[in-house]
Amino acid sequence: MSLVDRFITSGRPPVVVQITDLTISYRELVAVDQISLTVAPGQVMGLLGGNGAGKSSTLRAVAGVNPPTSGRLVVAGFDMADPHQVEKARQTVGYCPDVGGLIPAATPREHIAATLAFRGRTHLWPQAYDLLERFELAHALDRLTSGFSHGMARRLSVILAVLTAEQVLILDEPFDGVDPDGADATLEVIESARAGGVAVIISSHLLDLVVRSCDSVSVMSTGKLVATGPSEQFAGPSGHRRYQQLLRPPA
Amino acid sequence: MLMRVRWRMVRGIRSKVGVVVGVALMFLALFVCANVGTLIRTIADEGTGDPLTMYAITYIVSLERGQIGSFGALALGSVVATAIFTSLMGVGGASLFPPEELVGIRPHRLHRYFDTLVVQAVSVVGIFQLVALTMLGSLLTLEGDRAAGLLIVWAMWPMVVALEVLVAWGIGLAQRVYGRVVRRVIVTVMVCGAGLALFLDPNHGQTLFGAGDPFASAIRKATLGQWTAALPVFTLSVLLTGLFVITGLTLTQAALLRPAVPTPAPRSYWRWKISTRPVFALTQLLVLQVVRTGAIRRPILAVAAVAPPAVFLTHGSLTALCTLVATIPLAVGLAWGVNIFGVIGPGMTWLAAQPNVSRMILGVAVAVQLSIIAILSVGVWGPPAVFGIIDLRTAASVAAATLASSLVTTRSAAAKSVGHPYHVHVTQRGDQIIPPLTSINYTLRLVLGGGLVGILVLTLPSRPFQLAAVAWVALWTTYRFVQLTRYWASRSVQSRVVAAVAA
Repeated sequence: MSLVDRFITSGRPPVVVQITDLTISYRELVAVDQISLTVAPGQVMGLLGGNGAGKSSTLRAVAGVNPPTSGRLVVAGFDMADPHQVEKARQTVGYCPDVGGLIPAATPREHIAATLAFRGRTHLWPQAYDLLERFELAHALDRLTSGFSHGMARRLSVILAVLTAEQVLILDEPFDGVDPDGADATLEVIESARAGGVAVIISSHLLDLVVRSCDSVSVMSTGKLVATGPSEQFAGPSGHRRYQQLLRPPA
Repeated sequence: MLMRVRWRMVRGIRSKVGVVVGVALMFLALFVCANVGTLIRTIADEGTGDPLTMYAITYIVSLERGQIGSFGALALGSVVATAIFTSLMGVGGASLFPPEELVGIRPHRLHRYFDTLVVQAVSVVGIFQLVALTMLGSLLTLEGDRAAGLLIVWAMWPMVVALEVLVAWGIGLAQRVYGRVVRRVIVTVMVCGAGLALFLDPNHGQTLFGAGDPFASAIRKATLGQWTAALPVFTLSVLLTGLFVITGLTLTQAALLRPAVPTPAPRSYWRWKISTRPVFALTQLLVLQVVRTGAIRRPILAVAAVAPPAVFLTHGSLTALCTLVATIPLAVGLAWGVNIFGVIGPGMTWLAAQPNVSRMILGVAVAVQLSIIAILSVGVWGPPAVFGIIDLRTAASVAAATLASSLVTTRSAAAKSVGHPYHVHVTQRGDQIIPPLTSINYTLRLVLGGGLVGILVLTLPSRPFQLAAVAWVALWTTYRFVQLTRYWASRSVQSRVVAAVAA
């Protein structure tokens, strides 16, 4: 089914995340340098790159946490340069940040309740319980997250993001420190989001998992977008070699 | 070396200048306190007959009778009280760097002792003790060689600091040997014992159970050149300092040879239903931070525990009223208000991605701070007002002064939260929500801003003046808060704060 057909049947725009010449700078440091990307509803896109490539900065901008320095960023039809539209865009985005993302002195129950309250979606508690069971966190519902292992914290962050992803799901390093069962559960929710017409962007260093779960892959290096293509291009040993070549800085 | 590293972490010219100004102000405070005695003598000599003169004369008479006097007792008492509370609250165990951050350097095991010793000495409590002891020395040496008196009280300062670190590591060792319950038993026994002693003492501790007067007498004799009378006190201070340091080192060594007490999985002690309305849900989350974070909760509880007895024991004296009007908002500001986003820490990324939360969070955090101050004030001033220790007229003045002090302190603290957020760990005992050097800087600024405004309102002669002053303060702080809210509304400011605290 083409993107236009999807728009006609779902009533959603054919592109839900549109990034055009996006630049993000932290004082003198240019973290993201004029990249352009699009993600359609139901598309799962992998964002790959070495450390400091600018992946997390890009995802934070799409989630509405960081403002773009220049360029155009439209999420779910809302212009992220307009402060009023950013709040509306946040309503449609579920975001799992790369580090932290949880209040140390609050429990998963409180995180979920607050997340749903902020978005006026308290009717989603049954789905929240399902996700907690699927990610094996139901037993820790009333434990403070400061005592969570890294993997448990990652799982809860994924749950919070999935629960609130109306149109866009952003998962920054969702497999980091997660055991195989947790990784499988994450892959399942990504598949469910895809089936539900949600645009998914995943950032990870685990190439095999990204290839397995994504339709397309974009590679960033030193803030620039150096390659975009179907995920199959990065599968197998030849895909690994290609990826490693892309990560090498130009001579 | 660690101090050098910490100094290099004070980034930017403004921050470095701030620290230097803070240190300069500390020396200024020491100079002023060292001359309080001269001030009292001058006021008494003028003999104008006003209450201040009468108070100065009464003080001099009590000193000539060999008594320590209420000012001196207050200074010495506050040093002893802070020493006890610092030890009990675990602040004496604080360090410049968390041990896990020094794994790569592998410093000598005993660096932890000297680390806590330095932190304690340059902390707000340590500096306060030095200033209070200096004032005590000045108050006890109205005539004669003041340097001799100050030498004796300054010899007490290292002793007090070494004692605090000793107790902190003693509790640390007891925890490692006998478990966490022991700490709670020790704290309960010490608090109950101190309370019982204050209750049973005919002077309710105002003469430090009779120890204050011989101490004052020894210092006075030193100023008059009778060194043989003062030598035992000086020698005792030096010997005790040495003893405390050696014992502290031994206890630290013994504690660090044992494995650290495993931190039990934190759990919530009650299930608080989060509201379905966003603003209430956010308020509940922030209140939970206050309740569940020891570094925030303990200083507030300490004020709640100490302040009401202080008002009762001093019979609502002006000194106590002024101190508490400044201290209550200051304690809440330093415990919570100056680094709100740092306390939320990694959770700020999550909150920043929620719709409308960034817009609400500053206002909600300020409302929580003002509410805590209001509850604490009612708890502190309510019982003395009910039991007639302070009359209703005084209670109204205190309320006006507390309001003025709270508004200024809270706005100032919120500005620091937005302007200088700190990434902190507040999950273990002794953790602080701002670095030690910064806390000195903030304390001075909040006291000179909010505390002094409160004291000025309290001492204004008539009710209309007080009301006008409070109205002006309310207008001014509202204007400044609106400016701060506009600054915070900038997304680049919000993302800078998130990046600073959630790393």
